[in-house]
Amino acid sequence: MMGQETMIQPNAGTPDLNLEDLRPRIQEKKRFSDFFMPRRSRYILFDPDKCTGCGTCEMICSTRNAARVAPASASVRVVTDDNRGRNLAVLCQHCRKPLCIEACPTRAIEKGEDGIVRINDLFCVDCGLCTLACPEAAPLKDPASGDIHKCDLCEGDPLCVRYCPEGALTWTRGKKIRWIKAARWTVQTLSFLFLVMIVIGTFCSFRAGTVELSCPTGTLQNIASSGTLILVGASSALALLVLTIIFGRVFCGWICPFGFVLDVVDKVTPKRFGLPGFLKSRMAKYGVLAGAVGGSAAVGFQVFCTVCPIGTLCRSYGVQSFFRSAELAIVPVLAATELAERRSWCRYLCPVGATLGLAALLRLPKIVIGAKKCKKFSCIQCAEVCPVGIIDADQLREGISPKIPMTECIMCMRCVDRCPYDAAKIRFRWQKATPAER
Amino acid sequence: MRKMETRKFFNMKMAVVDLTVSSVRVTDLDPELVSRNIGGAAINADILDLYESSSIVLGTGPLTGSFAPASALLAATFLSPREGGLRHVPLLLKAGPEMKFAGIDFLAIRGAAAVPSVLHVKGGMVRILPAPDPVLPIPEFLSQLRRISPVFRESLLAGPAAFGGSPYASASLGSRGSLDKAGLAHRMAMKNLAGILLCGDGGIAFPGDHAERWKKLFERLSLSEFRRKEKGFAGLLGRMEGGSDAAKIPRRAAKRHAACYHCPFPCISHAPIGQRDGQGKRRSGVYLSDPLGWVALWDRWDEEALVLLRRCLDLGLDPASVSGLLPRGGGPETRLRELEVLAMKPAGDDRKEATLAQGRDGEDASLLFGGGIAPLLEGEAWKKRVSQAMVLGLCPVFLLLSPELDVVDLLGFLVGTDDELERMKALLKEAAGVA
Repeated sequence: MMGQETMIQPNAGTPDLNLEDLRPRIQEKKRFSDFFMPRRSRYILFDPDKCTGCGTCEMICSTRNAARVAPASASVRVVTDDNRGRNLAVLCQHCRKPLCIEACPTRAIEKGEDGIVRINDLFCVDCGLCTLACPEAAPLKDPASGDIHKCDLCEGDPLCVRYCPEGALTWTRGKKIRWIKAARWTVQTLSFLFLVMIVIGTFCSFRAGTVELSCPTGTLQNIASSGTLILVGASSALALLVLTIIFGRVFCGWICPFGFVLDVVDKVTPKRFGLPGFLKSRMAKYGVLAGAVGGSAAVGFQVFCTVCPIGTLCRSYGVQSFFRSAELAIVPVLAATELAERRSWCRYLCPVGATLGLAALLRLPKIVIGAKKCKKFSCIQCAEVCPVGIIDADQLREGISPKIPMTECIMCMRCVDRCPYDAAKIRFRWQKATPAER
Repeated sequence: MRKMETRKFFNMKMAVVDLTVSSVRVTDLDPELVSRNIGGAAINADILDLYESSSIVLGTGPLTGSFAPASALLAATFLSPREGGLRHVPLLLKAGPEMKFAGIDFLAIRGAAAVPSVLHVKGGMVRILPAPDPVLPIPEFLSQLRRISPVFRESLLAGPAAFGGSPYASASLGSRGSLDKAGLAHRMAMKNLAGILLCGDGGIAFPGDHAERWKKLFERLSLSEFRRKEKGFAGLLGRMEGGSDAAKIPRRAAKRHAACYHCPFPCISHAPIGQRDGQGKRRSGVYLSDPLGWVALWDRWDEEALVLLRRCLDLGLDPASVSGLLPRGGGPETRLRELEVLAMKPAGDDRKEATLAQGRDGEDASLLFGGGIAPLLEGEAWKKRVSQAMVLGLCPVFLLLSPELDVVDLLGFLVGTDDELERMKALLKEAAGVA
């Protein structure tokens, strides 16, 4: 039989299988309606003001996990700070982007379409890496069996919520109506219609009767190019600066017509690519501002105004402006940056934002986020909704209240609107306190 | 003799620790004992009879850890260190459930250790461990204990005053104090026992339908006066004779309420004290859980009472005993220093001191149950409710706060049929008498 012997290659013909082949990640399916009204899964909201630390949530949870009253086997844990008399329920927040899923070496953790993050016991090897990865350490090891337990929201009817005697746990989808969001979209739409379609002239410098308003960046360029200070123009430009000092950069968040365009574009475009590193400097817009003013002084006219997307939008409507509408090409070009990051233009390049940012150094209000009040490190909804990306999610995950640079904040108040714990607040700049723990 | 089958509510395990020879023996609990005496203080008293008079017996009731409301009790039974009378001290918070879930229902502690020791109860076992310096203030002592056993979930500590020989020592659950005014801490110190660490890793399979029973009962309790009008420590004081005035500070200062295990009546409050930080918040505070101690402090020291109470809890002193011994003259610092002196001062011959000392005999029936339970009902009614709670494994303060709650409602968590219920009522009456 020697002649019939064949050499067997151990791996011949077998494809290189990896974990992705064996346990492919579940991709989140997006529906068209998600662009306008994102799905909001229900979650458990914990109110430390009401919690008495009685441990009823632990005992009732354990009856489901371990079929007996065994608080140590529960998926929720009440921890108490004796010095401050505060109780805190540690339970899974079913994050939008769960770190436990990334950490699990066997891909035993999955997030379902219902938003619930579950551990598949078939694949879980109880290594505990998910506990280490979770900012709340919410996956808990059962000391009796050694299994990892994690809240699965009782498949949509959490027992802990049902049995909590103090009502400290609430089963909610968050705020039913976001008043700030509704108000902002209304104001943005009306401002767009007003500045782009009703006002005759341009936003850069428009006149209505005896009232004249000028863009402060345009005014700066005007002064640089003409070498003269027109008091009427300068004082009217001051109006926007005063508005910024009193309310922060509300122009950028609530009024700017190009900001409105960017927000609409953001709603319908997925984020496909990242900006190159050299473009991602928030100081760049100050360079653009300096270049615009310096360039205007050099060439004798307002150089930036010719390509300014705000001004372009404002002056490219109506019969008399019809022939100028070719300028509108700049709008889709700059709006395309939304494919990279939200409000990329505003973050890195807009010189008008830079001027208002300088004025915002003197602003009266500020936004504060008290990480110790929410104490839900994996929530970070404020960081996710911030269009200019100035809320540090990593700091929140460490339980540190992030310092928000108000020169960059556009006062859209999305964070205030979204926070389910009322931990994001507007304060005067001289008020030191952040919303502290309750 | 009527007998009832309540063993399914227990692990049916008892541990006997002899500190003198460092031995631990875990045995099966005699079913006859459970059938006859139900549990808690009644069984404790029987067990105590088996051992020498210096022993301490800790025991749970059948309802401890169950779905019954306020099922938090761990009863500590011993003979008064000064005069030898029987004492049952209710230990609450999570002490009872943690011991039961640690796999031990009753723990008898005999003898005295050669060096300060702690007992670690976990997984049906008891270990004897060397203790850190027992005269450390309780918060520091707790920190040291965490190095020995990072996993314990509840602790009973003798405190530095007990190890200093003070007759005013009071045992403490964690750093929150307790209702011990009967000399438990002193008895522990005599055994060189600095603390008992409870780590309830296991559980008990209580009947599943009891969750719904609790829900229905809670709906009734929600209508009770305590829940509707004023919760917290101020609410408790308000319902206590002579306590309304003392509720002034808790009502103003206490912002958060706390409850013992599975208790719908949060009668503990936390009051922040100390200097405010840069954010205007106080980083320290004190739990108000001992109504008699608080009233004694408040009567004499008014606004200073919070700070004095914090110091008493740190040193393991009973505020009710020491309040009258603090000097009127001098400032708060003088009185805080005096507390430290009292914590380290052995018992003397002074008559006034003797009447305030722990473990004394007296005519007051409350001394039988530790001397710290608030007089929320009168005479026999008080005694009946407290003894029922001490046998069943429930918080006596909860039963006193809910006079509208019939004991039948609670026995429903133990037995199913009407016949069993009647028998259990009779048995409870007997067992309460034993306690």
